[in-house]
Amino acid sequence: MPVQAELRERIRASAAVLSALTARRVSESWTAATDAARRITQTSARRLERRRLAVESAAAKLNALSPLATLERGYAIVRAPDRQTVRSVTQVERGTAVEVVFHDGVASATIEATKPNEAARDGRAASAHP
Amino acid sequence: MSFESSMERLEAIAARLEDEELDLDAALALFEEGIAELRAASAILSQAETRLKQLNEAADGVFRIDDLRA
Repeated sequence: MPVQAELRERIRASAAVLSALTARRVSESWTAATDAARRITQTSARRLERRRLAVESAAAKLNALSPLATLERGYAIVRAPDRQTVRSVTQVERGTAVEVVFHDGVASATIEATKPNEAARDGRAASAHP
Repeated sequence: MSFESSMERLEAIAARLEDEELDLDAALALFEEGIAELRAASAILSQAETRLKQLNEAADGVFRIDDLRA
């Protein structure tokens, strides 16, 4: 009987050691997992932050190069019904519907009359009689 | 369209607006394209941020369960 009691005691002691070791192992694993998760989160957040800064920088650059600044100074773009830019008075005539693009919107308009200057008239005459 | 390709296109658009003698209409068309690319890149980024937030919250839940066990 004393031998059995001793054996039981040794088994109980071994089980306690095993349990403590396992608990420590589990705890260490959770710590490692937590650290890994934190590193992944931080790396991803830093990567996203770098990209956010890149987008902000691109937006600022685009804004600085905006052709809208030219329109804001009072210029406008006239587009023909086929959306082509009207570059010459000879491209339109009385009744032509056009779009006038301002910096803050578009207006629809109809040409009432055209008054080509001398250069335009010469150009038209030249193209009509090469 | 990926984030990287949007950013590459944006760089190319900026370079053309910067360096080339474009007429106003062409510059405006490029600018409009640039704004669209900018919106696309921002949308991709916002989606990624939302996903990261969701993943963080999910991970946080796992570790909270661990804290409760301990």
